[in-house]
Amino acid sequence: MAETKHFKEEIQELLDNRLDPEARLEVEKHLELCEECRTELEALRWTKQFSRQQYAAEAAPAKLEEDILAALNLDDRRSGSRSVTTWSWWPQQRAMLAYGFLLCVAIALVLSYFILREPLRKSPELVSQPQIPVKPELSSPTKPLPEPEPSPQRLPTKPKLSPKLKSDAKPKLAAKPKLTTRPVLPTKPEFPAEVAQDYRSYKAEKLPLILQTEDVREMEKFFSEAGITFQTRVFDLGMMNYRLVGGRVHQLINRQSALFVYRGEDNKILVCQMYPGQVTELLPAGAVRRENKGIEFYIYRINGLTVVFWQEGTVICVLSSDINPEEVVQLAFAKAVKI
Amino acid sequence: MVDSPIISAENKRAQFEAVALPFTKSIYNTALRLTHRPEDASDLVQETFLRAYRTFSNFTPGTNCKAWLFTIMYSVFVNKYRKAQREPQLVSIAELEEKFHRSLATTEWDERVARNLTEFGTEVDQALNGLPESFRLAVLLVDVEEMSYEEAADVLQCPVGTVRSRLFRARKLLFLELQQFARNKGHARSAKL
Repeated sequence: MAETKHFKEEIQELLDNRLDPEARLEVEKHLELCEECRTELEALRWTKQFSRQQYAAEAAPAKLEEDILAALNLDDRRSGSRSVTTWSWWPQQRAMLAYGFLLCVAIALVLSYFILREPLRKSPELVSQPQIPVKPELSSPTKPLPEPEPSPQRLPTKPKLSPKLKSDAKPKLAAKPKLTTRPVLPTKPEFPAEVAQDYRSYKAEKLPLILQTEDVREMEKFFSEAGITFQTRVFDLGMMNYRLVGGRVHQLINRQSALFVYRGEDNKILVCQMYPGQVTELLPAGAVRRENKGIEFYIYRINGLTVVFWQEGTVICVLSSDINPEEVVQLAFAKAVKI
Repeated sequence: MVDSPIISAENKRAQFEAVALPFTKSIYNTALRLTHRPEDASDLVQETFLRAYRTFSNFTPGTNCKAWLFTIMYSVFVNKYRKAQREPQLVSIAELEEKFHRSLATTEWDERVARNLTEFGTEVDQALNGLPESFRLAVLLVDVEEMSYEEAADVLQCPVGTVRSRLFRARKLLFLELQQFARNKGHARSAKL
C-alpha cells in the first residue's frame, strides 16, 4: 500500500483562504480522500473560530476613550497652535530664523528681569504660569483656586534690588506683615501643608529617594517589599511627558506613605503620595472641589504649589507640583481611577 | 517650491478622532492580552493613541489605520511594557505535530465542547495566555483582528513567512491548550457521554 502524503502548511493556507485556485483544488481533492488531513483542518477551523469568538470579547473600560481624549487635549494645549509643515523653506529662511531667535532671547531676558524684580507683587502662579492656556471647559466651573499666601521661601532667592526698584516695589511689600499674623505652618499638622512641604524638601534635595527607577512595576514592587501594606498604583505618565525617577517609603504626619516623583520637560517636578485614609476625614477646609468622571478632587493652593487629593478605595492619592495649576489638575483627572 | 499643506490643529484632531478612535476597543483587547493587567492595557492604549496623534501627519488617509495603530501599540509595548523576554521553551515542530495528532485521535472535541468552553468566560483565557507571546500575537492579529498575514507582518516587523509559521504552531498549541483546559474541566470527554 502506497504511503499517503499529507498536507501541512497547505491546510493552513486553505483555512486562511490564501491558496490559488489550482493549489486549492489539489488540497480539496486530497481532503476528500484523507480523513487525517480533514480532521486537522476541522480542528484548526474550530480553533480559529473559537479564538475569534472568545478572545475578541474584552470590553474596554468605559472611561478609556475619555482618558484618551483628555490626553489629546493636554497634548493640544502643550503644542498650542503648532502645525505640521515641511522644512523645504529652511535654506532661504535660516537667517530670518536666527534673527527671530535672537529677538526671542532678548524678549525673554527683558521679561525675566521684570518678573524677578517683583516676586511679591504677583502671586507665584501668575509669575510661573507656563504657556499652556486653560480651556474654558476644563477650568473650574464656579470657584477660582484660592489665592496663595506670599511665598516666604522665595525671599532668599530674590535678586538684589536697586534703590529705585525697591521704592517701586514698596507698596506691594506692604502685604508682608500679614505673614506674621498668619503663620505658614499650622499649629496642628495638616496634610495639604505637609504634602507641600514634602514637595519643597524634595526639590531642595532634602528628601532623598530610596529607589531610583523609571519602571513603575519595579517601584510598586519596592513599596510592597518595603512594607507598604496597601496596594500602590504608580502611574505611568509617559504619555504626558513625565517619567518616573523613583520613590521612597515616607511618613506623612501619622501615616505611612508611598512617595514617588516624576520629572518632565524643563525639569518640571511632580510628587505623588499615596497613604491610607479617607479624604472626607483627613482634609481641612479650604479646598476647591471639582468632580471628574465621578471622582471628587480636592485642590489646594499653598505657597505657589498646587496640591490635588482624591480617593481611590481606601487610599488617598495626592499629586503636588509648582507647575501650572490646571496642568496638575488635568494630570490628576487623567490618572485617577474610581474604585 | 511648494510646501506640503498645513494641517491645522482642529482638522487634525477631527480627522484623528474619526479615523483612529473607532479602533480603541480592538487595541485595548490586544493590549490587555499582552500586558495581562487592565491598568497597563489602558496606559498602553492611551500612549498608543497619543503617539499616533503626534505622528498623525505621517499617516496616509485611506490606508489601513488599524494596522498602523497596532504597529505603534506593539512598538510601545516592546519598548516599554514588556519585561525581560521569558519565552517558554518551545517544543520542536515534530513533537508539536505528534502531540496535535495524538490529541485529534484521542480527544472528543466538537462544537459542544466549544460551547462548553465559552461558559467559562475569562477563565478560558488561560489557554491563550499559555502561548508564547509571539504566537499569541499571531493569533490575536490574524484570527481575532482578522488581519492578513502581510498586515500582521507589518505590525510585528517580521517577514510574512514568520507570521505563517508562528500561526501554524500557535493554532496547534492553542488547540492543545484548549483541549487540556476542557479535560481539566471534565467537558471534552463528558460532552459525548
